[in-house]
Amino acid sequence: MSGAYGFWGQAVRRLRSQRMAMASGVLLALIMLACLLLPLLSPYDYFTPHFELVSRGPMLAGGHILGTDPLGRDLLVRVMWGCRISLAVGLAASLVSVLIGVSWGATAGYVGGTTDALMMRAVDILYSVPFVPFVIVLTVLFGSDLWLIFLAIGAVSWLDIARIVRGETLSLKQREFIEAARVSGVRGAGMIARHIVPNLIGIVIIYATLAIPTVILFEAFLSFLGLGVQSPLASLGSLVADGTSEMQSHPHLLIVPAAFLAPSSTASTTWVTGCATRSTRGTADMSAPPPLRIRGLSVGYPSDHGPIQAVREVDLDVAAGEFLGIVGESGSGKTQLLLSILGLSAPRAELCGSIRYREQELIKLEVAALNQVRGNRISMVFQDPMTALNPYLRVGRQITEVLQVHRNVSIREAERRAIEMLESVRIPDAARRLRQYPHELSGGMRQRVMIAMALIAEPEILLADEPSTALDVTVQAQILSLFQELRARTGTAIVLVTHDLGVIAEVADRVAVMYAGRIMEQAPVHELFAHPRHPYTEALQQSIPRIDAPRSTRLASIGGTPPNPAALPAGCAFAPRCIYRLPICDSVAPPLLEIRPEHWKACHHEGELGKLRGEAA
Amino acid sequence: MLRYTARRLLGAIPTLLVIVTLAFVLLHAAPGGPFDAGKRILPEIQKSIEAKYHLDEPLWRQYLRYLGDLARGDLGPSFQYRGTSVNEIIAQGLPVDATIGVTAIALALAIGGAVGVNAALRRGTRWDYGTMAFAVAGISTPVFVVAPLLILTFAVTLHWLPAGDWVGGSPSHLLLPAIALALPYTAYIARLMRGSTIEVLNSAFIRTARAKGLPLRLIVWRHALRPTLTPLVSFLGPAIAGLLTGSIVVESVFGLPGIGRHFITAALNRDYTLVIGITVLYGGLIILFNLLADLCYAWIDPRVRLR
Amino acid sequence: MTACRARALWPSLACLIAGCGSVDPSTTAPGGLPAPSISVGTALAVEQNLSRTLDDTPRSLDPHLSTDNPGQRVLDDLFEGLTSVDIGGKPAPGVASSWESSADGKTWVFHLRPDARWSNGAPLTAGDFVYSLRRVVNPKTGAEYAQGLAAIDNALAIASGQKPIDALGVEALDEHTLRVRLSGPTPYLLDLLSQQYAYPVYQPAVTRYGDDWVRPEHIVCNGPFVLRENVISSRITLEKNSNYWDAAHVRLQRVVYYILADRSTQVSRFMAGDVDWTDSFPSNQRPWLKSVLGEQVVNSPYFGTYMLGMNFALPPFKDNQPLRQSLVLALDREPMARYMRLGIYQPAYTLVPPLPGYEQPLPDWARLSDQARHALARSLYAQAGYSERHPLRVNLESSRQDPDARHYYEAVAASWHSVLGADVHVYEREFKVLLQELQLHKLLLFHYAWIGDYPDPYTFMQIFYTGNGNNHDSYSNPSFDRLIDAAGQEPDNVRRYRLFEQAERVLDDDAAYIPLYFYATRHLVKPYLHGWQSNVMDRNLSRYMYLLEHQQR
Repeated sequence: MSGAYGFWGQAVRRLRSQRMAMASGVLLALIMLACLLLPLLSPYDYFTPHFELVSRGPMLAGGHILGTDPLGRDLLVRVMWGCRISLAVGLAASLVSVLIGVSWGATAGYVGGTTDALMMRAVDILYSVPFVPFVIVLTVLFGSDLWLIFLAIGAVSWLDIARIVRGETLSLKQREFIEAARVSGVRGAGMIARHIVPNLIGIVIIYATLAIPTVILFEAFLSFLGLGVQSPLASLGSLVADGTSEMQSHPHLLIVPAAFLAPSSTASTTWVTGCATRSTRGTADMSAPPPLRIRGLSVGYPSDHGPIQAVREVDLDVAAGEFLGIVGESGSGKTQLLLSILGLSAPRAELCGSIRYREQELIKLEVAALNQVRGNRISMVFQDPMTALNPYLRVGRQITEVLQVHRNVSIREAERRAIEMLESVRIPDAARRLRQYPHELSGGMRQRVMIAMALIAEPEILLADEPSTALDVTVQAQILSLFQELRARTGTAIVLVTHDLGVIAEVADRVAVMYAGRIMEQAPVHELFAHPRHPYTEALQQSIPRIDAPRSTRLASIGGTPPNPAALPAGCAFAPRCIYRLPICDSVAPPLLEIRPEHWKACHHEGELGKLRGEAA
Repeated sequence: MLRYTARRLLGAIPTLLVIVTLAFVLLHAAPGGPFDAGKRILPEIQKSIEAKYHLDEPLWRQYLRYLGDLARGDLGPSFQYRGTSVNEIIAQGLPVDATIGVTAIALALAIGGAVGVNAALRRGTRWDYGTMAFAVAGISTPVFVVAPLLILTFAVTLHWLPAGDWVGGSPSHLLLPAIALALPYTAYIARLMRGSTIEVLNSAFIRTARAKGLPLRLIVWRHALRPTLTPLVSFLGPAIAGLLTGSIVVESVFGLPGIGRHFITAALNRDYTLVIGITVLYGGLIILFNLLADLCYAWIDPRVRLR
Repeated sequence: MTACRARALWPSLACLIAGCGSVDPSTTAPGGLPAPSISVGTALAVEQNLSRTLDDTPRSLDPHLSTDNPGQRVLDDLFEGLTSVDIGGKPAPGVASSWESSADGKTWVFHLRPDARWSNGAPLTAGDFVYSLRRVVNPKTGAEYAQGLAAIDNALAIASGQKPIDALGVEALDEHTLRVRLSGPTPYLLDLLSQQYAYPVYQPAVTRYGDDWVRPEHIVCNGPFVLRENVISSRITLEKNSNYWDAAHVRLQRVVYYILADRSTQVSRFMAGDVDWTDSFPSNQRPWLKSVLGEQVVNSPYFGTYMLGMNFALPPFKDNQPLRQSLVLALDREPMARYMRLGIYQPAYTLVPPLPGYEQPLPDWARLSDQARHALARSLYAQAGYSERHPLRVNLESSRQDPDARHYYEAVAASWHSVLGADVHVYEREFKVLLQELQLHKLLLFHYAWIGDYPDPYTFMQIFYTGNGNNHDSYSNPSFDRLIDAAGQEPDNVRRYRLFEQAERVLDDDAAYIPLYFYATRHLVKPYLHGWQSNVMDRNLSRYMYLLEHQQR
């Protein structure tokens, strides 16, 4: 649903979540309203001087609330006019730079080729031209008419917009609707104007409004130099400049306009960055099962609608040397389960329950002690090796530091062992690889490096979060066989989290099936596949396409959609999609019970399943 | 890297040419000449002065003459200060600007960096909100408001620091102008570092580092530092332009013998050579610093390949 | 008894009420800025180092090329002409210890001191003056103030390239005697010869170093101080010249000039104790400065007039004396000077600022009451053909001013609006642009300030002379010209002044210009700095100054 609201909807929602930005937006609106209305409502004139009232300080009785300026004019009215002019200059100059920048960038991006190269080269050159001196020269030489100021400022600040617009145009060009338009005969300027530009509006507006506070301050700077707007007009900048020279004798002449200038530009800065900032709220990540003994683990995240439970009362054990597979859809909580074992959940996560590794309680363990466990006794391999490795450091360094921290060996020794490890994960030419950066390796190799990093300290348990999902299929197979080999050699227990049942079938000893944060079924692998007891497990199995099925077989999928973790139904979470549903399933959540040795299930349905396979229910 | 640098420097030449030409054309297009004064000069004398400064030649010839001199590094005589050359004025003023500029940036980096990183580490606390509010205020308050206030407070009222002037090598004369100039940058760098630090600390490879059981100190210094610095480097390159303009205000308020102040009086008095000379200098500095920033960036981030 | 006490009560009550009602907040010191307290002794300070400020960098330290006030200040300390000025600004013997003039005033003979020397010890001779004066008028030198020597015979012809330089009316009769021939009686000759364009320069240095001869390492001068250091736009340091003929009476050891274009900064530095004398201060700060610094704030009349010019060659002012006159009359100069210029400047009704011996011919309209004057202005305005439905629309063109000067012009425009209904806009332009438009005689109503070069009315009169290079308003009146010509030939200065006063009346009848106010000097001076006096040309040579012992907290 979030995508359907489009650009503005997203912007508004982002805004609402950032209170400071909202407040600034409101403040800005108030200021704009004030500077439009106040001069109309005030009994005082904007430019008629009153010599007897020169430079009076603020007084509530005399009617001039904020005092008078050196010509006896009401300061509040002057400042409001000044606001108006400053904002007008800001908007007008931004408009000029938008007009120039958008036409330039869109044309360059759309036409492409030599024209593009030339136009962008011009932009590059202009970037290096010191624009402030030029604006100064322009205003000195050609006077300070207001329109000239707009033009001068706008003419030198269009460069950023041009660059961005060109980039966006280039990527828009590839999109389907452009192709469609082209097919129907739209060309050239018409294409640019009607199809490309409207799609740029959002991003252009952001950059244009980003320029407004800068322009306002720049105009203030020009006024300080005596080059900005001329009397009897006054901008906030020229009022501040005048006030600065009177600062020692009539401080109110400086303080009042400065008090309006700072909030105006502050407010517009904050408001704009609020619109543009991506929300950095953590995704509702669920945590992971504990190492050896996990009991009643729940991981929740606070939100505006109440806590979101990513993991709900999970009990799990990992035996020494075993290969445990945890399978489930995205959003089932399996990754969160893994992360919570090593205390890597997002800072806002709230953990309850117990994760015991060898008699040590890991939840709420202090960092120093936890660091003894991480990488050393329990290590983790992450999903995307490109982002999980530090692109700024050489591969060797990232491996050897594990040993240096945990084993206190010399760098030479560490490198030797690193080379050994790389070889054991089947990376050829290991010594050279040590010196390389992650971006110089292929995806499969990076993942192997990660595995090497995780195993070099010979941990007892290896947690692997979808280690091959980001890789292509052939590499996947290699990684999996590597796991098996390593486990055979070193006896490390492996917890493999994946959404791919097929992978589990190949390598795991035991499988846990998770859905909506709960373990639904847990059994040795053969047992699970032969006799699934949970409707979800059965459905998962059936949804694996079989190469030997007739072509006409429809692709089986599980009807319905995964539940929203923020709005979980009472009772069994799978009930809405379950074909074996009973009335009790809607109201009571089934507990995890051992129905056969080592076979646990959480379901109200008794007995075997088989509907999906065409067997009796 | 050397080839890249050489190529960039060569590419700077057309840019500088554009700058010179633009400035030249603008100045000569404007009404008024350097020797027009309130009190009329005798025509013969005016002619003699103009001949001396080649102002009687056709414009294209003056332009070419200027280019020729420029190629030899001679920025010409100043039209305002008779008997002084532009090279001399710049040579006298540049060390002042350079010292203050470098000090200001060093202050901004040290304080802004520390404050920003700290705010990121203490995210969500009052410390965080407080420093960020200060940052936004600092960015929004113009230098020409801050500088006189500093003088008022520290020099006139408290007598702790001198109110201006420049004594080469004296740190007390350096301090207030550098602080005034550094303020908006400190605020901006604090904001930048805070954002960058938060982003880096949330990244996947930091999570990996934590998963390896590395101590915090190691994570911050070895893993987090470089990625945090890259946006800073991108910012510093173009920031030089802002430093140059900020110095105009600081120089005029503190009475410092730098170059910035000259610029406006030179434009007002049609001191063609001084205006063009300073403009070329500024342009050159911008190009140089952008190049340095790009080189720095490439040095920090191994994924960046210099084209 | 009760009655007595009550009677005593009333005055104090009245004072209180009056005080409450008319408290002028602008005269109270703002919070947070205490005046430095200075205690001054009676003996000379041990260290005689003076710090002064300049409003701008001198354009040149070559006295013949210098055109600005900051340059004049420094050059007055570095050089000395045939005559100098005394502490009150009056001409006094300089390099020449005595002189005589012929009966017709056209020939003068100056006797130079035998012990006059250059700063490098070389003797200073009459030949040096011949060389120097010729250098000024030589077109090749490009001396912008060459016409300052117009009084000397053939000077203008040489400067226009019509005669060779040795035709100049100066001659070295011997090593220490100089004869000067003038084109007409010039009562102000002694003032003229004390100006910087009449200073001598050291020929060997000029010949050898060309433009660089003014550098500290090359310069040779003949004044009370020598140049030690010149940091462009920062400071100029002078040290006492032991070869100066009057060095025994020069008490200062060192003078440092700080160049501070920002006037508020000059105030800050003064308050902080860094400088002892400022050349200026922001006029809008005067009331506050007066309340905080008292006697240290110095304002005295300065030989300059602020006025507005009108274009006589173009409508609406062409041939329209009633209109011009109405604009002159419609301004209330007293309150505007008091409020806008804060009492620093005196309102002006005539052209020439106050000058000893010169009687300013106050026009009749200046004596009218405000209402009568306004009424007269309105009737003249109507007579000129303008009314509320058909108001005068014109721009008041001025150069970029300080904020307070700008406010004054806005007040002028506002006054015309309220008294006459005229629609006048103040339009500020950049100085050079304004100049060019002025010289092209394109502007209709414009800012026209003028500062006299020497204390004589002629320097003001010439700008209304037909065809004069500084006549920007195309004003031309033969009877005015005749009076000026006659004054030029009149050897008796008293009669000469009367002729000028008559000329001024002609200008007033024609409403040739709109007088506004007269300039004043603006200085902040420390109480321990002595050896100076306010004078109308504002020449304050460091030569006479000295510092008493003092302590500033």
